[in-house]
Amino acid sequence: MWRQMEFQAVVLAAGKGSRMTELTASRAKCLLPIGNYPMLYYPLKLLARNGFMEVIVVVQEEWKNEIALAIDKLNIRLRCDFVGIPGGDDLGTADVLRLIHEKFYTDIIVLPCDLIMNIDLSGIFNSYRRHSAIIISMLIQLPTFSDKLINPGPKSKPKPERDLIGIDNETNRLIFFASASDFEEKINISRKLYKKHTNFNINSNLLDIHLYIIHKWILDCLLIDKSISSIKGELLPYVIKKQSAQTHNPNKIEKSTSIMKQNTDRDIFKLVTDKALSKRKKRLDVLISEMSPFNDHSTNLENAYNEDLIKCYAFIQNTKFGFRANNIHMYALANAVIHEKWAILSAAPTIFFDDSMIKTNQVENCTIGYNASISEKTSLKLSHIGTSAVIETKTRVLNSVVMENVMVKEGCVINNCILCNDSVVEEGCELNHCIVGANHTVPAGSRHSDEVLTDIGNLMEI
Amino acid sequence: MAATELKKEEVRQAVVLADDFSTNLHPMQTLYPSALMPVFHIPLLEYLTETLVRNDIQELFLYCSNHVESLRSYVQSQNYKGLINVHLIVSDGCRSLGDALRDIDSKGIIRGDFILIRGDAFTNANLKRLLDWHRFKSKQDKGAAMTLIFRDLGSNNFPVKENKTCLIAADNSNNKVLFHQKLSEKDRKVKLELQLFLDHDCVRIHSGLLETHIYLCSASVLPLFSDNFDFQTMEDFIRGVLINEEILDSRIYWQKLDPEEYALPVTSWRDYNTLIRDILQKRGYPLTIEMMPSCMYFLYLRRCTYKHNSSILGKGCTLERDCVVCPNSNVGENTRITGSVIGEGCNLGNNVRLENSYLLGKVRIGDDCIVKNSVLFSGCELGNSVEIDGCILGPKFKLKLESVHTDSLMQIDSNDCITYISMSKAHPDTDQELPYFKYTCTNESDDDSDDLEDYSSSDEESIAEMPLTDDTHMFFTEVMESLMRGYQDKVKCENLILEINSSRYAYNVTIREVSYNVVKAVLSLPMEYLSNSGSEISSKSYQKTLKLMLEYFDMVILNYVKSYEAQTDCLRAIQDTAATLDTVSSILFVFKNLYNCDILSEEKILEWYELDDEDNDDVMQKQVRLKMKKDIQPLVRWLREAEEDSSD
Repeated sequence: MWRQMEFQAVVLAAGKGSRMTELTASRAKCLLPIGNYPMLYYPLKLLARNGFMEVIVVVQEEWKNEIALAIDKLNIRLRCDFVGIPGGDDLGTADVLRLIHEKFYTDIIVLPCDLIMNIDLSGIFNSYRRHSAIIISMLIQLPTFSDKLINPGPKSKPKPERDLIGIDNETNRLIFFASASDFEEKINISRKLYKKHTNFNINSNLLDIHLYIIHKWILDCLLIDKSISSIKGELLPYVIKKQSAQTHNPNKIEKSTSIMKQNTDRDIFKLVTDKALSKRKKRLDVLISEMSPFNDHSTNLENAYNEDLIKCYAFIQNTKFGFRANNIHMYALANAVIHEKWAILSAAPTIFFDDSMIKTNQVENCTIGYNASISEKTSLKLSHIGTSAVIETKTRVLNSVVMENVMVKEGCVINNCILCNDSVVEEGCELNHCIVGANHTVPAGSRHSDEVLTDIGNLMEI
Repeated sequence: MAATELKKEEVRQAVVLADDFSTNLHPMQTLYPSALMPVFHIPLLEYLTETLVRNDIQELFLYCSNHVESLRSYVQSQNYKGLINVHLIVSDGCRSLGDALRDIDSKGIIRGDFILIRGDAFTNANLKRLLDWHRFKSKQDKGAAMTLIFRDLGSNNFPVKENKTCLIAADNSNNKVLFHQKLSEKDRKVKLELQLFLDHDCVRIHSGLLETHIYLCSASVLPLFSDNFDFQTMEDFIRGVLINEEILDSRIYWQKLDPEEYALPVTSWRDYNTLIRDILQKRGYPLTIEMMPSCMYFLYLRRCTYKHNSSILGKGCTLERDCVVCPNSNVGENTRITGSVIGEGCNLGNNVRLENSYLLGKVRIGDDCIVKNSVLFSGCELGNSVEIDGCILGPKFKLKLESVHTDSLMQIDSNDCITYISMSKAHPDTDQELPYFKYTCTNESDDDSDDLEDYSSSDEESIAEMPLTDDTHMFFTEVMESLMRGYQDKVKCENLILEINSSRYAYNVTIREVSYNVVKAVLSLPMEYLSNSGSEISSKSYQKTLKLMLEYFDMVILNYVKSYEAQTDCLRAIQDTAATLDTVSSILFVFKNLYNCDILSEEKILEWYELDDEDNDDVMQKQVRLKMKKDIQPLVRWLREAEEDSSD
């Protein structure tokens, strides 16, 4: 039985992982393992748990088959429609939506592929429905880093990119959105903003996790305004700005524009919004709001929502556990804590293949992939061993990620490392806080700490 | 030791500064200290003491610097026994709030936390709750110096709001004030430090807050004033403490009044008007007329009108709404009163119309007078058939029979001379307009146009990346605005030129662009003007308005169109305007007027006319030019004839 869904889900998994190029040099970002699942598993699982039946997964064309295969194995009860996009061009998130727009027939919920959390989405859906919002963004508290954790690779302090997010205290409207790095020293709050919203908070401790619900006609607008290329960087600030630029007296604006000969293409957005709304639902909306005594604010005597047609909202999700694994630091963190969080992520059980290949008892809090071979007298702790990886005797692996087909030879100590697929660590190595690139061979007896070890040619860019 | 400390804690002290050192209520300050300003027939201080008594404040220190005698006699006349201990602190030569607080500090009277109230404040707030909050805060943070109290006005365009609301940025978790700025209508934006947001997780920005002139102070406030002798006003103090937070080790917090609490400091006539309305409509409950102990025997009539038992209303006299007739007043027959207060011992004749006016006592008004939007101080006398609108009459001022006055401040100065000052220059310090309640009703339309400007201007503000309009375009818009305002408010042309020049430097526009844009603006202005005023836009009305405007802006245009080159730009502007606005069909008219004003020279017109535009590729342009040429043919013919004539 096919029925029209209220929301279509889109998982954007075509990212190249530009913040973690060491790991993604030969691997699709969305297939990087967290625990023993590829990263993409988590957003898909989140959708499945929230009752979605089908999802559009946007991936790079070159990885499409591999990803489809990998996801197929995971047995998620979700019909995935993999859409490949050419990997050559640098496409922003909004560009991607524009590219595949003909797949959308209704409002969409957009998720990134690196979202590791388990939440009930009904909260954000309800908030979207209640206010008939145009775009709604989910925010969580910025994760705090414990100083104990040292990330693999060169030492660097994690510097989270901080956003300044202004939210009206009474209505939860999203009214200000900018990255802290956009400003030099001063921030201007325009008079119109503080006159309309007399009481709002500007948060710098919230993280936009790139989970948005977007109204269908914004997608239509994207087709017209081709200059917008990313959702967070351009679309969201633009729409937020437009919501205050609305006026309930369009005649007045028109008059002044015709005389001033203002740039017309700037208002395309506005025109489209008016048109789209009047065509689809304005009549009913206006009727309801006229007859209803409901008002969302008490600071003035204007009608509900100040008669704005464009409404952006923020939804602050309180969650114990959730983050985006979009850089090495967060990726390492995700792997480090995932062992404790299976319960929170529910449904995802610790898969422990009781394989004859495992010949040691000293395995503690590990996930071991299919067909991995682990010899006697090894000690594994808090680690993830990928499929077909080989760990030889007298080797200790601590807090590390060992991806597929990795060969760790005799007598090594691997502590807090990420070993990418097909890499080899020869006998007697000692690696602390290192990243070993794909296909790289670490020569026997070498000792490294806080380094990235790769074949130079592989690393195209950082 | 512990016991005495406890005892000290228990004493709640308030300091009331009887003077507010402000001249916005001119000439009120020459007669009364702010605290004794009459509201109905009782002074403002009486409402304040009532609130203090209700909140169990045990001690009140009244700081007097001017009109000491009247304060002293007032305090002596009141019976405070068992209610509150009132102490007078008398000081001469104190000229600011800072001086007053330094003086109090040197006298060493106040030791603990106290409530500081400026004399012009009116409130029914629960001061006890606020004081407890402050004490709680100062227990947490030893450096908590002051808690500012605000009333949230929301985003309504209250008449009170003007120039008085402020915007604060505060830490959301503990109400610590990080930034404070008074808002004025001119401000387009508020600038905040980025660091502020990065240092604090969540910064609350609250605008539309009205200062209540009530401050909860720790004992450290007085020494702070003494140490920083440059703190004159409360704004100085707040700014100083916020900037030097670490050096002074003091912090300022804020609290909001509950929605049902009321507070309004009377800092202008407009506020005075609002306050009286609000008291009558019982916003200030329990501070209403019938609840005040000294206002017994008032009779509440319908529509917020009160009448004292001892006053007499004539036959056929109507109190329409929001009126108070104070004791011992007589109102004549068929008199109509609305929105007014008739002070003690007034005498109104027959057939008087009183609207929106305040008679502060012992005023005598003759028959058939019309008094609107006026304040009459005590002892004024109006003869029969006087008409005044928007006037303030100083004490004992007498107006003769049948005189008519509008918008002026009239009083008898120290040399017994009668002075008339127009209300727009009546402010004694700045010679600017006294904000006066008469104009409240006209504000709304202004606000609308303000909003419109806001929308366009905020698009230009660079919070997010917007496609930048080029500077020349912005310059043009600015010139349009300047001229429009100049024309509507009849600003002098010299000032407009200055304004345009400053815009020119702001947008870095070349002089040729300036002449081009100014002419273009003048030509487009009638359209804008007509559409704003809602009249029909026809070529006839356009011509009419343009003619007026050309006459008015003659000097401006002449200033920018001096050289030969500038005339070329001027012609280019005409041509472009003609292309964009189809109503400028009457090019001939434009040319003729510009020629008459000596802006365009004869040679230039002819040159332009004869100029061949073969090189012009734009078909549109060509058509426009052809049309224009056709239009101005009569003028050209006439010019040529004149030339031939003179050469003959």
